[in-house]
Amino acid sequence: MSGFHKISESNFTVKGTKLKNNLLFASSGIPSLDYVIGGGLPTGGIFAIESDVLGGYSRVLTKYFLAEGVVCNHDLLIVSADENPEEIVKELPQACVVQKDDRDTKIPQEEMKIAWRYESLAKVESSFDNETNFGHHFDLSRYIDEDTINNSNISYCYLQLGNETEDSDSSCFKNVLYAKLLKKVKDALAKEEYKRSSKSKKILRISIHMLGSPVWLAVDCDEELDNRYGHDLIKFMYCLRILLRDTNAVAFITIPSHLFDDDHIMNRLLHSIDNAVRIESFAGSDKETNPVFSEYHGLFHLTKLSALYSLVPFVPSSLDLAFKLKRKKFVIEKLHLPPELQESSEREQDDITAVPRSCGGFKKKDIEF
Amino acid sequence: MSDVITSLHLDKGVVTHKLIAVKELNGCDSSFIISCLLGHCIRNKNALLVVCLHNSQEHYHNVGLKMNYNLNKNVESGLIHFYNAGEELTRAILDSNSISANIFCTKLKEQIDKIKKNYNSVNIIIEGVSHLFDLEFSLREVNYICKEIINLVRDYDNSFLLMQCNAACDNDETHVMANLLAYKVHVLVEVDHLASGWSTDVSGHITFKYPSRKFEKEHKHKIELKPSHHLFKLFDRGVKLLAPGAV
Repeated sequence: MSGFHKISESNFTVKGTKLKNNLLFASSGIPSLDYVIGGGLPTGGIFAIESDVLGGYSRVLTKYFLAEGVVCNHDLLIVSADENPEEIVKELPQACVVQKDDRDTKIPQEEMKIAWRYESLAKVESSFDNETNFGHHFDLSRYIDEDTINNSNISYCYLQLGNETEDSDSSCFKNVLYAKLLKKVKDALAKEEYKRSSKSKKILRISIHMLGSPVWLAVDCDEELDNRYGHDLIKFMYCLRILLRDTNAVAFITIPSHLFDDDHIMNRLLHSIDNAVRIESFAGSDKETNPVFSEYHGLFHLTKLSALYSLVPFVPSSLDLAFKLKRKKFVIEKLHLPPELQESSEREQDDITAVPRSCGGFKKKDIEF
Repeated sequence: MSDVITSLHLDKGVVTHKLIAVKELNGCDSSFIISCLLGHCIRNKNALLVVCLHNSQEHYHNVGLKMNYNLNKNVESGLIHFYNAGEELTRAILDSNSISANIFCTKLKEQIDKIKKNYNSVNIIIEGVSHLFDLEFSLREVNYICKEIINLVRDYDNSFLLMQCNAACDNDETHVMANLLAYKVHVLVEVDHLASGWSTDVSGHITFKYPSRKFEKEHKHKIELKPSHHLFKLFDRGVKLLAPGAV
């Protein structure tokens, strides 16, 4: 028998986590997202989503993150200044089992006659879903029942601007909401079980919804409109980074970055954030009707990937990613252009004469030269 | 790892003082340089103070284990000293106090003096200088802090000082600070991503510039000193510098 034992393995048996680089990783609730950011959300780190313009998809991702926490018995801290966080919890999706695609086995292996060079090549796998078996799938049409929610350890933090003049005078932030939230996070993290060195470990999932939306900046932009704009947010993010470091907590933050007037705020924020992604939804944009993107609901950009406790950050095999939202799955895939097999609608679009069908436009056959 | 140390001109021992600045462009991470330096100092038994503003000691310890050195053991022995400046400044903010640049300087000097008692030379690494701007220090204050530490290292004349600064974007104060540091140092290191994005073959570009060479005899008559460009690839156990174009 070998005399060597991995001490670490026996120590980490926290439900819903896995160990990588001597660090606990929690699932985001979306297996393909876990894969593209390097195996999940590292504890002690900040994960940020630059939300889509309408905010719908980033809200769905938040729900997945929280639902995964409920399923794994993790503690939750839900923060929002825009709406009551209890509303978000009412819509948490229920875990479900998704059948794996058996399409590969069903296709009979025929000998290729023309494109025989391609026969030995592996099937192109654009989905990352099968790469990992970490995390759960959720059914968006069914909600987690109230009893389960009540039995979970969930803290809510609905931040509102009141008349707390005393606080704002002594606070180091212009907008007192940031100070309130930092205090709340600090108090939550004070528990021994969230410390990385503690023996009975528990995971705390912190979700901050739409950080930096107008209510967060309201007081900030009152006075001088020079480059101090948004500075509270940058300061908050750094303080949060320091608070979370060496704890078993994961912060999941959605940021409406399209509201910021210049790049420097987001670039400065990204320096304090560990992993960040940006969602670009097709809804409302001209890409919505573009047949190239007909299979997807939006593009998925990776804006920052860092390596905690390691030198080498994870880089996925492709950086051109797109997502689609199904009832039981949020899937992130490699972006592929559709094959040009038939007289596709793409041709129609290129044809200048095939303009709006519904608007009573003329048809090609009507033109006579 | 030794490639980085050689390029920083630290392989032959620090005879006089040496100032190094690391400029991170486009959000590229340069913590591997600090990990290499930690390994170098531990191997040569050089005392080192790391002023932590970005990464934690635990991070460097876990990276170090793969690079074949035990950081925590050396921290316990007193050879390496970590000053968790980020935590101290954040704690002050949470308690609604603010630490001025002067006080921060004094605290840094106290830390340096502690090591100076036991060791002849004190090497210093300040990682994440740009985070001082996040904590609402002004450009003038950050410049003052750096200047004070530089003066101290100049006085010792047998240690190196490395300052790592992230340049967020062109018209940002962090970029100005990185340029101010670049003006003062002997060796400037610029780390950047590949223009085409991330790759698994190469981690990024690294450029070493030696502004101090223009004062050296052998380079006196050169008008333009060429920087050395490399590609770098990170591995779990270290970093490899590659010639441009090679993979």
